[in-house]
Amino acid sequence: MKRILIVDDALFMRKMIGGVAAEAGWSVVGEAEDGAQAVALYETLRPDLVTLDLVMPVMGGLDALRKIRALDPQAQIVVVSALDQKEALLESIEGGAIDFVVKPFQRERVLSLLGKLGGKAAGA
Amino acid sequence: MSGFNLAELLPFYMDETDEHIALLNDSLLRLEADPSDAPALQETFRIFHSIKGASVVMGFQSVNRLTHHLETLFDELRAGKRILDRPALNLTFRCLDELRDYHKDLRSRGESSVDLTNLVQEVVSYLEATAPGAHPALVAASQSPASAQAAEPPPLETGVPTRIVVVFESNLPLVDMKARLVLNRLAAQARILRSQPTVEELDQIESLERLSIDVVTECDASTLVQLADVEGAKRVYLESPESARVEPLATVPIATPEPAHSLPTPVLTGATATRPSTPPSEVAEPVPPRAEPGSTKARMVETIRVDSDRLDHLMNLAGELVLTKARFSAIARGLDDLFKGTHAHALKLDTRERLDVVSRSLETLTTSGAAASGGSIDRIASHIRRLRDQFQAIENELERIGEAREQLKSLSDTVHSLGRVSDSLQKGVLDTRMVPIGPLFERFRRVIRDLSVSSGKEVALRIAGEKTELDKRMIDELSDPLIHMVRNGVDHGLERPEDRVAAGKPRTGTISLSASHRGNSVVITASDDGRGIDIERVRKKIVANGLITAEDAAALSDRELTAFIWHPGLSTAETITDVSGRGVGMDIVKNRIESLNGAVDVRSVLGQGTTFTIRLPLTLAIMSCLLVRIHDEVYAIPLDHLDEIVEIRPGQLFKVQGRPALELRKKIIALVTLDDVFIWGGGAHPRVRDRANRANGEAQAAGGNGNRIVVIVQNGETTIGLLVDDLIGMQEVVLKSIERNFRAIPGLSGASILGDGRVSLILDLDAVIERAARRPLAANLNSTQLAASDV
Repeated sequence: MKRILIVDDALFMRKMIGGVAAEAGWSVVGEAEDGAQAVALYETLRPDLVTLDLVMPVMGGLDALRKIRALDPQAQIVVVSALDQKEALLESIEGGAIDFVVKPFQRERVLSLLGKLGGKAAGA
Repeated sequence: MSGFNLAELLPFYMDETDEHIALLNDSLLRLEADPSDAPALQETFRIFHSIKGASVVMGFQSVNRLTHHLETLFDELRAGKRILDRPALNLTFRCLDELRDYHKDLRSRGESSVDLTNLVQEVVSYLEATAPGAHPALVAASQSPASAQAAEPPPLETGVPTRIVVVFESNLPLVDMKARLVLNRLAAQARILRSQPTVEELDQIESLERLSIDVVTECDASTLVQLADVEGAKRVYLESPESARVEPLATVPIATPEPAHSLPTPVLTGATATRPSTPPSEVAEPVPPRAEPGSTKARMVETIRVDSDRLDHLMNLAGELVLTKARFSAIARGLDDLFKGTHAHALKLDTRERLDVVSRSLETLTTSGAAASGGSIDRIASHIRRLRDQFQAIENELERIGEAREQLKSLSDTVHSLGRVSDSLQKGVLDTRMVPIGPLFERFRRVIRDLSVSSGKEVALRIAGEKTELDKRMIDELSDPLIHMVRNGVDHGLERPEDRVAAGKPRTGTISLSASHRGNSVVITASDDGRGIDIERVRKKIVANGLITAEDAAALSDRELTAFIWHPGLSTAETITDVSGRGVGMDIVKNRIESLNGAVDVRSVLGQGTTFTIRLPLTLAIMSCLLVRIHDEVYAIPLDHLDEIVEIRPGQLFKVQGRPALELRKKIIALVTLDDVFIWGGGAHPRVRDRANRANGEAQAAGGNGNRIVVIVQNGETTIGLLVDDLIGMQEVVLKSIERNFRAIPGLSGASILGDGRVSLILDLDAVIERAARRPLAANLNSTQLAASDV
């Protein structure tokens, strides 16, 4: 089973993504509320996938993305972004994010994304 | 977006960036000699900052990314948070080389195939790995994989190009970012030859259903499809670019009016705002996959940079030529007057006839012998003969004058054509320097759009005075400052739509750019209708930054506090955004404008908005002027200040608080004479003194009916009526500096030489209006001047 780390400062979002991930056959191995926690958890958990909110306290998503990619250049990170964060989104794409979903998002979108990534991870 | 034309901006961008790259090279070499050279660090930082700002406007995202990170690096270096070590310097040099190659390619082919992505990654990795205060363990952990990744060579180019087509779900949010994501993901495993739309075009695209990318790769088909299959992609499939090119029209999917995908988009020729459609004839033309330089792309028009002093010199010479021509015209006209209006030819014929009649009559008399006194007749006959001889000489002279008249006619024609040539020469020289500010303003449509999208604010751009012409150098230099101001306006000035509605403002914020000629200056304003500068925050900030003590800060006026926004290092922004917010923008703005002998001023009303006003001198210009006669001297009034010319009856004149005024369409306008504004040799104009000495009440008005001519002028705020003696006409005048030849005189912006060699003084109406407003109450109200009309 593929392992996923969910990073979002909002509990609601973590629960929602976690629920969808479970539905898509992923195992939620950890949740982080900010970038610093995310980096620390990534180092210990080494999950197959990270969903990463861009705007968070303490350490933002972009910084977390870079730190995680520095720890593990193969890290698979999906960014969760609002419509108006284009700048940061572009930086995260160039920083190596493998995909992104736009908030507010529909369940189906996350489901299809995780489905695609699950297949990819299996093939990789 | 209509009216936005990247192609027009590209030459500006190229020239500027070339210069920047050359400067960077110098400063990096200086840093190599002395890594702690503070001015060089500062300069390097600022140049990267400038390239970053310009490249984001042009939509060259990869350049923007790279320079953004380099700017960050040098920002930390100049702040002393880092030390410039050998790896950083080497990396920067490599970036510089890549940037140079990128732009060289861009210049010669109209697009660049230089891929900066890996370099961006390297700089980011370097910044991360060596972040000030980074945990040592983390540095050690991150360094090796990061550099290993960066050093990984791109896949070898074996095999034929493959086209990957991604069909996106319709109305997918941020579809352009998805497209970038696809490109980015593919770039890790394949070399991207081209895409349709291109990365640059993605910026302007509202919706996108089909992205096609040509790549060369070693990956197998399923890996490629997997790489391109991002969330939101409805379908991903591969096709051969070859087949697409042979039958371009056949592969156009779902009857969308897209151009053939294999054709490079002519970025330089068409407006890039909408997706350019390729004419069918071009579609049919076979195009090799890797176009030779210049074969399909429009080459950029070659430009030569010329020292502006040389242009100034040419400008002066052309001005002299125009004046000489005017003098020629005057001489030719004078000669014309001398030569015309004579009836010499008719008189000549008549005189000859009369002389003939007289001599024939005399002959008859002599032969008939009717007259007794034959001797006297002989005498008369000899006089007549003499008269006839002399008249012959006069006739010859007349003939020569006739010939001279013919010559004069061709002289006039020649002077006329000399005039045409010298006028166009002058205009040509002028045109080499003067360009309308419109294109500069237009590029802000793109900036505003991007800012609007990235900030989530609704922003409208209003442009006025785009036809205002400005010295090219001024336009070049204005670009950066204006970008800073506009970005500041959107980032920090405008509120979010909800906040605006809550504050009772329209949802959409407005950024206004305007330009106009005012007196001897060009005035450019950039304003927003946002929240205005929070004076109290500035007060706190300057105290917090230790610029001033709390005590002193408390004593400062709002205006003085507002002025602190120009202070280097002061930024009230909460977050650092793409360009604004580092606290460097505003002092760059001020320095840049002051280096042009200009001035910049800011006015802000809390809750209503902020207006930046840039005033630039019009160092050289041709002005359209109305020539008027005042006290028998000719003055030129710039037409841009002129509202209308009226003839007023004495009944329309009266006094308001002891000052003369006139009523025009129910509006009261102050009436000003030049005597209110200027002092001639320590007193009133000699002619005025003359008149005062003569009997009062002598009607000396135009037309002799007591009516006076008043020229209504304004400076945008105040309108006054200027009393003149006579109107002469409109003329283009070449502005010559009085200051350089004599000394500055408030109220005069310069002088010009008229066709007859006389000097005409050009009024600086801004100063005239200001001085008129300041004149002492009821000061020498000039009874003689107004005697006829004062009621």
